[in-house]
Amino acid sequence: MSEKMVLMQGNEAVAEGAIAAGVRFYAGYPITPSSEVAETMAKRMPEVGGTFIQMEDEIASIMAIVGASLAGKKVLTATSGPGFSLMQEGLGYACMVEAPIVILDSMRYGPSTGMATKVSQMDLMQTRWGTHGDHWVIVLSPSSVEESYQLTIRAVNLAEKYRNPVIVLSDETISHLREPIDISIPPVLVERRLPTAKADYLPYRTDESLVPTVANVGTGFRTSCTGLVHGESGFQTANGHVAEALVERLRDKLFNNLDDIIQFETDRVEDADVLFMSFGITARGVSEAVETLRSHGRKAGSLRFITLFPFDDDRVRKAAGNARTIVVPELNSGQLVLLVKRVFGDSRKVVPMNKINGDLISPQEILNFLREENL
Amino acid sequence: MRLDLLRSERLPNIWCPGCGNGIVLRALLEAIDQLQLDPDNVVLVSGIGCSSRAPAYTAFDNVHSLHGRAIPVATGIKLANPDLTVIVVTGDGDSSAIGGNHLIHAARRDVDITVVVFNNYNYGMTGGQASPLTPTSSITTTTPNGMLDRPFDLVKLAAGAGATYVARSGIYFAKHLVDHLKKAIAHDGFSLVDAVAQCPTYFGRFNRKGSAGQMVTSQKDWMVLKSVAEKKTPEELAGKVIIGEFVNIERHAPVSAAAPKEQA
Amino acid sequence: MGNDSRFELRMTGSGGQGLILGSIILAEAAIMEGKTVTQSQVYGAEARGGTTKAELVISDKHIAYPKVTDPDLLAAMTNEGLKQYGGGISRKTRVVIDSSVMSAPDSLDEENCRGLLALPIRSTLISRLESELGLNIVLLGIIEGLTAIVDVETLRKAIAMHVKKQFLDLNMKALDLGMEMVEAQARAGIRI
Ligand SMILES: Cc1ncc(C[n+]2csc(CCOP(=O)(O)OP(=O)(O)O)c2C)c(N)n1
Ligand code: SF4
Ligand SMILES: [Mg+2]
Repeated sequence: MSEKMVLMQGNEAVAEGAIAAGVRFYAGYPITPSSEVAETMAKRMPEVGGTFIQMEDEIASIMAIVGASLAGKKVLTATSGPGFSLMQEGLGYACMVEAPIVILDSMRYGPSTGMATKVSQMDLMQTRWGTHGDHWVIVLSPSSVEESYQLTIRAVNLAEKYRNPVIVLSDETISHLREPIDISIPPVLVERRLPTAKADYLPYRTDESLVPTVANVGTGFRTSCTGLVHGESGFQTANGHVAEALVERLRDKLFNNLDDIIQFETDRVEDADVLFMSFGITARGVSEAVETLRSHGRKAGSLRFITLFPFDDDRVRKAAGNARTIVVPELNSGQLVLLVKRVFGDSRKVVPMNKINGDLISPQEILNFLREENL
Repeated sequence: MRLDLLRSERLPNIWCPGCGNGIVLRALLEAIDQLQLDPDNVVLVSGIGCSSRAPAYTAFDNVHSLHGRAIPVATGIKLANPDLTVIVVTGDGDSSAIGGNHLIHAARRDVDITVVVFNNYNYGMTGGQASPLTPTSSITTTTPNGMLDRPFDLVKLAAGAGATYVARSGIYFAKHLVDHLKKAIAHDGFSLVDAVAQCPTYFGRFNRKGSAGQMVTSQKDWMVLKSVAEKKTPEELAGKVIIGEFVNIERHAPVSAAAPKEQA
Repeated sequence: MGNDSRFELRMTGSGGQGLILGSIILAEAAIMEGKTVTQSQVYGAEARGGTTKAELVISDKHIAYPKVTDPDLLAAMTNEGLKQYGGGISRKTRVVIDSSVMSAPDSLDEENCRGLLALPIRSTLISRLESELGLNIVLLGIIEGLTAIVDVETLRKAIAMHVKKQFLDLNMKALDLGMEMVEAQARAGIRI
């Protein structure tokens, strides 16, 4: 196995995953801790016949990838909190025109400029609710370098399949961590569906998949795209019924396919009496803590969210087993725990465990926490 | 004009009677037609504003983006498919206020797109507020006592930022406008045309510019051809707007230096 | 965390000493031997000239928690580095310091670490190899001498992957020098 293994940094793995998935256009603006993605793409895009452009800010970056996506390219941008805030309007626009785009948000410590080189998981809710209006995004959360590679591929595929923005929510630690990974297996690629006939072409008409077949610009279909509410023709309307149908479809095209989109990783949930629910880098401390607890005879288990959004309460409930206590460690003041509490109400004891000093939650801290809280 | 370049089913348009936007759009279609561009290869990208609605009335691929963001979208499209003719339709506010940063950087990069600014000296769509091109002393809904600041000179701004083709014209000078749009579109590199139109509903009304017709015909009094202006003194040109071609230079050729090898 | 095959290394010093590269080289050598690794470092201003820290975990098994929590070896190449990142050691930890630039701190004794090895790393490098470059590789030699964590030949291969041809010879000598320094200690009967 060792010949195939290459030592790679998380950010490089995102860039290489994107390239393996067919991304050939990258626009971005440097920001710690995501900059290595841009640096890797600046070098790699010309090598694979793609385009790299450093834009003047993150607003321009996301709009440029939307433009390139509408012109048929698979696209990526990468940023961190301050830049992700600037990207919000473009994110909503991409949802509305159904442009497949992938954004890496490598979480650093916020709010505002915060601590550029310190880790956090403070952007979780921003990925879901950062832009205005009812909208739906897919958010994937890697917890290793290997997974940064694999989930970026998956993100590109999901973006193309559902014509929707997909966010890879990483963090400072994973972005800069180096681990050996195997990138020798070529991935399965998904291509966006395109219209076949020009006759009766309506860009936003859909079949039962609810995913439209919008033509790429410049292919002779003469499409209109707008962030205004639009019907199947792509033209603006202020008709409330059309608006309702559009927003419902934007939701349903994802929610009708939750089996395809949602992934968890579970570890010894079945008989667990204490269950940890976590995502990203925090799950690695959890994993080691569970191991230690089990070795001491304590029935601990773990559920790690690989897909964070869409978040489906039923699926979480089913995957969670019967643990009476659920601990939710996260590097923020309590964001994931809000969702977990929504799922379980008062039926389980849901305990937040938060750390907001820019460091990780270590396995030992988890063990101490259980002891101190008598869990 | 070729009607097949319009989506007649989308008409009537949203513009007020007497609005100058239709005339600029007409000039743009005329220019595209005269250049004999294949309509399948033309993409119009716009921001938000009355003017930015124009592309949706055309039969080209068109992308109505966000306020100020047409230029980066156009940049993405052009880089993704360099064979396309990519034209940005934008307002004075869209291009020089919220989108000003994108404008200067696209000019600096000399991206091969054409930016057509439908310049009516105010924010039409939101009710006639001041824009960065609103002349000093003008009345708008956000400058009830007159605009205090100086406006940008869009031509100088684009030229200073590195645009390789810059022109200004007005809708009264229909042929002049079409000619300069043609040259801008045909130009290899970043081109900008400041196309002065009127917003009778707001700017015209607040500043007592008369009817829409009077606003158009008055252009011949306060606009001066560049060739004429060159023979005039600054005093004679006070309060005048000069039209013509201001920059037409060869595209900046990107110099690619081999990347230095990484040091151990 | 009960995982016997887990080896944790922390190196600290000043930016420009090449400690991060050193940790990457050792990581790659371990990978060549079929081991798994996680390598990390402090980022930002610190990594650009100030005090720096590089961490490496090597294991035969999957590594869950990727950071160093209980180092087997702490190598401090500056006083400032030891001050900032010298915490979190235990009686399991061997500490190596560069005695040519810092004095052995009183705080480190048999009570709180497995042993302190004070070696004049920088001065020996300069006197023996007439070079200021290669401190990180001398340190790798010392780590190798102390732990034999990978095969020396594998380590040489990993070094060759990262240094320019014209410096290869110097770096190989630097590696040998590090291992020699450990051997000399052992011969002198100093408990390492
Ligand atoms: C982010 C954002 N801010 C504000 C607006 C509201 N808005 C819409 S159009 C416009 C100004 C348009 O002025 P201009 O670009 O000159 O176009 P015109 O309507 O005059 O053609 C503004 C401020 C918006 N749509 N988006
Ligand atoms: S408000 Fe002004 S710019 Fe807008 S359509 Fe009316 S006249 Fe034209
Ligand atoms: Mg305007």
